[in-house]
Amino acid sequence: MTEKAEMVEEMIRQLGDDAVLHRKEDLLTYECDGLTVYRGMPLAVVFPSSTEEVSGVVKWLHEHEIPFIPRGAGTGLSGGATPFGGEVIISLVRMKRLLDVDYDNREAVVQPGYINLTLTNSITHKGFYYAPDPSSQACCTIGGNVAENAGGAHCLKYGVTTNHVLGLEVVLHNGEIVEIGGVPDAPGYDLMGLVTGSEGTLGIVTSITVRILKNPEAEETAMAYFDSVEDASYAVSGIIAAGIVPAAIEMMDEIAIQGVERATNPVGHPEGSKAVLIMEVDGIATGIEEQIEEMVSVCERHNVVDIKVAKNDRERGRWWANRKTAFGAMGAISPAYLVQDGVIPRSRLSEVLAHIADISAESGLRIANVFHAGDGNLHPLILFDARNEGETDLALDVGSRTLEACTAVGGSITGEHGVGIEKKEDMRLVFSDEEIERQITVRSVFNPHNLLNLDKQFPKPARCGEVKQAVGSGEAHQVAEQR
Amino acid sequence: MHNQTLGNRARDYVSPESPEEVAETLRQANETGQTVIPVGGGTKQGFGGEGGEADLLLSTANLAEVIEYSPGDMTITVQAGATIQTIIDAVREHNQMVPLDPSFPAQATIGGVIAANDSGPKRMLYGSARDHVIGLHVAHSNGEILRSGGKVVKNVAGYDMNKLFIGSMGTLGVITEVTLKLRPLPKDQSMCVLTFPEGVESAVKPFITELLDTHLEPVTLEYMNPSLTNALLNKEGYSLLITFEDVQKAVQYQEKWVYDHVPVGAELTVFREEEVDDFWRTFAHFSIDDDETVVHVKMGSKNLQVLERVENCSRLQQWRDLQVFAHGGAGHGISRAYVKGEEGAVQSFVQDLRKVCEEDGGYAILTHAPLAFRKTIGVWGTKPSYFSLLEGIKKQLDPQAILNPRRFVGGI
Repeated sequence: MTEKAEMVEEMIRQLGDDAVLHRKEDLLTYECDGLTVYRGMPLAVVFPSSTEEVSGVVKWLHEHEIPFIPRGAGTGLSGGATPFGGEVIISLVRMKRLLDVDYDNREAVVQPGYINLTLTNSITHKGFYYAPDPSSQACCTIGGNVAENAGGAHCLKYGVTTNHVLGLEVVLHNGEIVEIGGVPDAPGYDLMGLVTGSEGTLGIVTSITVRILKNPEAEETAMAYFDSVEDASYAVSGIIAAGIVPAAIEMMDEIAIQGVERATNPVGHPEGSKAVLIMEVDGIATGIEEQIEEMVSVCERHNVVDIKVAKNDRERGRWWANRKTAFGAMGAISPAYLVQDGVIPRSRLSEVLAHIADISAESGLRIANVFHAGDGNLHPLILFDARNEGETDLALDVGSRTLEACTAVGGSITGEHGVGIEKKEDMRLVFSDEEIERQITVRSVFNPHNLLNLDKQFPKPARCGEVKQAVGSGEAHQVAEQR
Repeated sequence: MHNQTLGNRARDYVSPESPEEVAETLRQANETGQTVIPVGGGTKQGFGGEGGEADLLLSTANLAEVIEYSPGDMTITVQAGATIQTIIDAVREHNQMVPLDPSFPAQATIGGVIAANDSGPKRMLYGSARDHVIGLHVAHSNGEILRSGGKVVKNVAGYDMNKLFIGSMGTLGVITEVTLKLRPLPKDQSMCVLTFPEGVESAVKPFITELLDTHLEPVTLEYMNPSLTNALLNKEGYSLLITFEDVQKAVQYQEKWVYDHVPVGAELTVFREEEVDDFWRTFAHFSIDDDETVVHVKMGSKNLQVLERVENCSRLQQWRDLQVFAHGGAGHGISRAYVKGEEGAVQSFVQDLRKVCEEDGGYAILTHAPLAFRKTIGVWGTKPSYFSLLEGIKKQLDPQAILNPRRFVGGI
C-alpha cells in the first residue's frame, strides 16, 4: 500500500468515510485559501467532529511525520491555509457549535468552526455581541480568527481578536490536549497570547472562550467626502487629537469609491469624490451627539465637501455593507486584484498614500485604497489582469513595494491578514535574522518537526541550523524561497 | 526599598547606562554562569522566587528616558526604567493617558509592571498590559537585543512575542524599551461608592447583575471588604466602587442610574473630578505596616466569582487572628488580599484560600511575601498541566537559566 493509501485508510477508520476527501477532483477546492495566486495540492482533507477526533488524527500524522494544516472557512488572505503540496488539511468546519454562553460573566465558548457573525446573531436578543468584525465575518470562523489574530473595522476602539480571547483548548503537535487561559493572568507564560496569531503553526485550537460585550446604547455613523486624500487624512488626525475614541474610522479613495459604486452595494457616493470617511461613534446615548458634532466640525476645518449622518440603522447598515464588500467590489472594475495589509503610524497617512500613488504610477497598475484609517491599517488593492503575461508577478512585486513604503515609516507588513505564504520574505522588512530565528526557536517548542502548517509565516533565517551547514558547503543561497 | 527578609538579592549590583550595556552584562554573565536578577523600582522584591542569592542585581534605574512620544498616533516609546508616573506626566499635556493603574505608580517602572503583569481596577474597561504593549526591546541572555511587535497599534507580523514577556517575571530576558498604546484622557469622571453594611452584602450581586445588563459602561466595579472599606473610606461594611469616565453628559446619566437603583440598606456617596483621582491614588498606595508577616495574594477567577473571593477572605479570617484587606473587580476577575498576622495563621489562611480558588478553576499566587514564607507554601500554586511548554520556552530563550532562577512557576 502507498503511504497515501495507508493514511487515507487510517483517516477513514478514525473519522468515517464521509469525513475524508482524497480524490484529486475533491481536493481542488483546497488548493488555496482567499489568496488565490499560490496553489498547492493537499494529500487529503479530513473533517473531524470533536476535539478527540482532532487529537487522534494529529497523533497519527505526527507519528507518521506527515505535515498538516488546520483550516477554517478558507477566507484567509495570505495563504496561511494553502498547502505547498502533500499536507493533510484538517478542516474544522464540522466543529461549529456554540458550546456555552455565560451572560453574567460575559463569556461565550465556541468550537473553532463556529462562524464569527453567527455568534453575534445568537446573542443579540440579549443585547450582546462579539466585537472583532473582519469584513468576512459572515463566513469566516472564530478558529481562523484566532489563528490570524483577526481585526476588523471596529478594532480601533475595541481591539483585535487577541484582546477578546479568554481561554483556549489546543491540540498540540503530538495530539496532546491542553487548556490554557480560562481565568485572567493565569500563572505561567501567556501561551494564549502566543498561540493567537500563530497561523496554525503552534497547535490546533479546538475550543475558544471569548469575551462578549453589551451592545452600546447608541451608535451614530457619519460619512464625509473630501476633494483630497490629504484633507481626509488630516481630518482623521484631528478627530483623534480632539480626544474622541471613535468606534471606527474607515477611508476609501477615488478608485475604491468607483469600484463599490459599480458593485452590488452602491450607496450613491458622489461622482469624482477623492476620498470618503466613514466614522462611527458609540456609547452612552446622551453623550453621542456632542461627539458627532465635534467630528463634523473637525471635518469642516479640513475642507469637507459634504458630510451626512446616517438617519437610521437601515442606512447605517447599507453604508457598512458598501464598505465591507469593497474588496470583492474591485471585481467590477478589474479582472483580478491583490490586497495588501500594511500598517503605519496614522500620523504618516498622507505621506505613505502619496508614496503608494507613485508606486502605482511607476508600475502602471491601478491601486485602490480601502483602509482602517483610525489605526493606520492600509489595504491597498492592486488591480491587475492575470491574463497579461507577467502581470501577476508585477502585482506581487507592487504589493511588496507598498509594504516597504509602510515599513520605511516604522510600520508593519501586516495588521490583520497574517504572513502566511505571501509575506514570508517581507518579514525581513521588519525583523532581523536574529529576531526571526528567535521566533522559530519558540515554534520549535510547540512544533519541533515543523509538521504543523509546515514552513508558513517565517522565511528561512540565514542563520538557522541546516543553513549554517549549507553555508559551509557554498550553498547559502538555497534559502531564498520561491515567492 | 531593599529588604533583607524578602530575598531576591544579589552579591553585586550594576546599573547599566544603555540597553547595549544591559545586553553586554547579560552576555558576560551567561559566559561565566553568573545568575542575574533584573530590578526596576524594587516594588516586587517580595514577588516570586524561592531560591538563594543571585550573583548580580541588574537595575534599569539609568534607563528612564522617554524615547519618542507621538500624540497624533497615541503611542509612546520609553525605556524600561521609566516609572508609570513619568509616563502619566509625559502624556498629560496632550490630554492623553496610559491606561494602566498598577500599585505604586511613582516607584514602579514600566518594565517591572510589564514583567510582573501588575494591573489595577480600571482594567475592567481598559484592559491590562497585554492590551497596551505594542512593542518591546528585550536584552536576551546571549547578549542580543531583539525587538518584538513594533510602533503601530495593529500588527500580526510573526508571533505576538510581546505576550511572552508580559508576566514572565524577567525569566526570559531584560526588557529595555517599551512602546505603549495610549488613550485620550476622559473629559469627565465620577465615582459612585455604594456601601453595604454587613448582612446587606447579599444585595451586591443582584445589583451588579442588573447594572451589567444595562448599557452602562463602568470603568471599575471594584468590591472591597469591610477592613479595606474602613481603611480607605472610613465607612462600615462592604463597598462597591463604580467609576465612570466619559463626556460629562454620559457621566451624569450613568451616575443618575446608580442613584435611582441604590439597593435597600446600601448607602451612596459620589466622588467627582479630582476627588476621584485622589481616591484612586490612595488606593494604589495602600499598604500595611510590616512588623509581622505581611502577605499579598492575587487571585484569578471568572468575573463575578470575585464577589465570592472577597467574601471567602472574610470567612477564612473569622476564626484566625488576622487582618485581611481584600478587593476584587467584578468586571475583570482579579481579586487581591493583603494579609497580616502571626505566620502560622497567615499560612493556613493562604492555603485554604488557594484551595478554594483552585477548586473553582482559578488560582491564588503570592505577589508579596517574605522569602521564608514563600519557601514554605510556594508562590504559584499547582503547576499547570502544560508545564513542559513553559519549561521548553525558558530553555530556548535562556538555556543556562541565568535570569531570575527559580523566580517563576514550577521553579523556572
